[in-house]
Amino acid sequence: MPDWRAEIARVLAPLHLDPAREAAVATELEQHLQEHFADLLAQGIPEVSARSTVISGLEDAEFLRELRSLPKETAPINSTQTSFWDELRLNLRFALRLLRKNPGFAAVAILTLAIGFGANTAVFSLVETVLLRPLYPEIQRLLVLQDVPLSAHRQKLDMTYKMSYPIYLSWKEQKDIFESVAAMAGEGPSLTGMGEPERLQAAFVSSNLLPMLGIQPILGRGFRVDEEPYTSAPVVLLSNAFWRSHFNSDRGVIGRKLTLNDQPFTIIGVLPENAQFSFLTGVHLDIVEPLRETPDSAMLGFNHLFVLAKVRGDVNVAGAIRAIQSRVQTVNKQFGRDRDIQIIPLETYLTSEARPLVLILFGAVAVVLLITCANTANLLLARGAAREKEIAIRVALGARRGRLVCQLLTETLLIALLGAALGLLGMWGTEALVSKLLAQRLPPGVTVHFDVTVLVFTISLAVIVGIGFGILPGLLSSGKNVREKLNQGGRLSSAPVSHRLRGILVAAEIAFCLTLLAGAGLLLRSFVRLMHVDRGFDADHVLTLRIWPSPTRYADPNKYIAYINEIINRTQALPGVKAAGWATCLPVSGRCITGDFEIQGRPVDPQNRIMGAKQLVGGNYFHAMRVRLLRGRFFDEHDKTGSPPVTIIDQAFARQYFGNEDPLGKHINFGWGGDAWTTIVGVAGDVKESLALPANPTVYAPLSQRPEVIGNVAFSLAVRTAYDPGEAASEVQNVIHQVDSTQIIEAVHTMNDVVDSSVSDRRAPLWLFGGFGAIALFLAAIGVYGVLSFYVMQRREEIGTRMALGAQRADILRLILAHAGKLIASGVAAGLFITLFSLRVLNSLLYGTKPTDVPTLLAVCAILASVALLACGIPVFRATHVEPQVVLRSE
Amino acid sequence: MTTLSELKKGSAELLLLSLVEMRARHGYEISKLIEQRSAGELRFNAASLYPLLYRLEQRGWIEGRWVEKAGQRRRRYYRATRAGKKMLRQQLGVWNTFVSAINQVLGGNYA
Repeated sequence: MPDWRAEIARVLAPLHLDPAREAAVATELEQHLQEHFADLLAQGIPEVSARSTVISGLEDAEFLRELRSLPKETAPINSTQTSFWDELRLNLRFALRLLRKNPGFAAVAILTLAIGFGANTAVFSLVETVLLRPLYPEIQRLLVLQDVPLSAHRQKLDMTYKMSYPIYLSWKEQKDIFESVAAMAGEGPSLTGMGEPERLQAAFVSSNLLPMLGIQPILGRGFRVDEEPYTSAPVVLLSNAFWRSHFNSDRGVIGRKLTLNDQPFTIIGVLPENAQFSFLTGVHLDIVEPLRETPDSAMLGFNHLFVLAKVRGDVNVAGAIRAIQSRVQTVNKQFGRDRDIQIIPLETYLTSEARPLVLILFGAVAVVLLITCANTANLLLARGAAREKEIAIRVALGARRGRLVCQLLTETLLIALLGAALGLLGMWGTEALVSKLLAQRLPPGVTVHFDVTVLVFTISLAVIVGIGFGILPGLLSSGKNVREKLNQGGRLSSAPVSHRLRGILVAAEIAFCLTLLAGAGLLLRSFVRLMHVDRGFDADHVLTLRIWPSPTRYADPNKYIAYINEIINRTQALPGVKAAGWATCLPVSGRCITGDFEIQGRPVDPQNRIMGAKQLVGGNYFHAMRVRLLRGRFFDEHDKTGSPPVTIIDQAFARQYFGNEDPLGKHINFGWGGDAWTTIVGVAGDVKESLALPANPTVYAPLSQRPEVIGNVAFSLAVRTAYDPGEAASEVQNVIHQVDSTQIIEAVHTMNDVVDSSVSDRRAPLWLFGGFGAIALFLAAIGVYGVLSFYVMQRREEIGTRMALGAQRADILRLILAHAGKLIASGVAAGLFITLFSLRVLNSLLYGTKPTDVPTLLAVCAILASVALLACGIPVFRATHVEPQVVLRSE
Repeated sequence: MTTLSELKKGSAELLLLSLVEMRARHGYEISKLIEQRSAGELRFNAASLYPLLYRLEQRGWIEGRWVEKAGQRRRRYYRATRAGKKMLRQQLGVWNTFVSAINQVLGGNYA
């Protein structure tokens, strides 16, 4: 007697049924086979053939196909004794097996999720860094105070206003509002005596600033109040980085000396590594000195101090702000002037640049994540449809619906978590890149890095996505209509719900993709427009650099002027140099100092101050920069110390303050150490201080006529060359060193580089949007391909039938393309709708381009539609190459 | 093109229910009956029969019981439940309507 039990056991083994159940089924089958065998023998059929007939009855091709298509392990059916952990382990193993058996599906699902999660993680950590991490203790009580002209409030918030020393002292007195008021100035002294002379980045702070920011030196001590005056013994604090690089982290550094600007300073302390207060310098800080205001720098009107005030603990901040505003008149009366104050909370001050960009990025990346989720949901739905038969059988064999849904959820969670893990890994590698890309806009010194919060965020996101997009396909696949499906034969069901859902998901993907691409397109257009704006100068073939002649060596203004004139003369004598000149601030570098002016014959109107940028120029600056001369003349060798004071105004100033009058010959008070009226001798073309903003009204004065202030500012040299300006760098530096070998030269750049870096903060959003847009496009294309493939597969018999009935390839093509076209068109339409409403947020990043820019939108729609149609290529090809006979026969 | 197997699948439930309406029968008995009564045209082997039986059982249209008769091993017998009988009558009605409709249409040419 053949061993039926063994055969049956072999067939049932893959199902991994509950032992009791398996025994029952096996018993029934065994009896069936035995009786069948006996009957065959009774009919006279030989034992061998009888046996094989009986066995073949167990091996119905279709039934076994279904059995075999089940993964080797099935969750136990009808068993109530497994613990939660056993079930979990089983589910996981099952899910892993499934992924291994379907590497294509797994790869696409995990990769698309990785992209979505990765991008989200990156932006979230950015958001966390910029917006959520508190930089200083009690930061909400810290206010930035700025001394502004009365007309300032009508303009946009300008962060560059500062305060002069006497006004700062006056606010310090308001002890009923403030717990303390601190001040800071920046600039760089030169270090000598430690190897190569170097220009350092220093901050000059009042003694209370560091304690206000909660910064404690890790070695030594902070400043005392008596160390603030210029006349006290010079002391200095080292930044942590400087201490490491120049002193090798030597703990015995306290008490040693540092020679700055030819003066010995005593080192009294070292700052901790995370000390961040480089509001002005924006980059790394080398040393910190006490405020040390000189009589010159302490003059009223020389607004160079950044002032930070801490509101008293027993005063609420809003009340403090009101109190400050009402106190302005007191301060004004003290000095006989009429100015206003601008109060900016420190948090806003630090993050205002970054905040809009970060929020926009978050929006963009959320869109990318939505698209990846839609893609994954589509994949899961398709997968669910393909597994319907398998699931139906399991239900028939006794699996509970709840268990099945759990199983499916485990699978999708696994995919989601794997995708998240991969995404995180990817982002880990690109931390540095992300930080660099956004460096310009981040609060100074802050870097993006991933920590626990980010990890938690990503994992939560993964879980939500996994459950959200796993539950739907799970429920659909195991629903009540499952049993009907079993009777439908081998065809994959065309459950209308699932199909329509997938279509909607793809249309949504296309819509979101359009929004991102449109954003990228607008930013690009904006950037191009910006670079082509009329700048007012010619940046080609110009070399620039900056020096700050040592105030000790050139304390005598005449010596100072002679020095820099000598440099000009020698530079212009170099072969290939067409013109060279000095200026206090170069175009598009945003360093220009603004101030008040008076025009002779006009009464001073406090409501309508005459404001403009003040530039000291020397040599042949205007020629070097190819600034246009509109009226009158440029400065020449007659305009020197002692000769009648002259100034040149630019067109913006002329238009704003002189209207149709001819400004030539009028008199204007330049301020800056000299109340004498100057004569306007020329009108120059506007030069942009920032490409995106209209030119600031500017007044130029020859530096040789302002000896009082030149010691307090650095000068930039502009050299126009006949050849590549980069090559001139070493020669020009040599010339300077010939005159003074100890002169520190910095910021040696070509003017084109300066222009580039002035717009570099616009590149980051462009790259990011472009990157996200490309990713979204890729994902949307995959989505379209997937849905259309499935559609074609489902319609195979229909297509076969049509072709057998005489339809041509062209008709089939039209059929498929009509469906695809509907999807794409609805996606594009929805996308345009979303775009028109949402892209207004980009306004702050655009230049000369409206968010509703029609050519850009049209171009983007065209690109998207083309890519989507391309994605239809393979499915369409498959559809039109269906062999009718093959299809119909297989039924 | 519909084949015999398609039709077979569609009417399998009907067949099974009808066979256990009046009497309880076990699996092999059912498969033998079908083969005999259809003169060999319809065959249900073990692999197609039992899943069907279990499905019907799950829906509550038949119930199975282990019965031990004297001198024999335990066997599982199936019989139609009240719900199953109701379903059978419904399906029979549908089937008859369907068949007569087809015959009428064909009747014009193939009578």
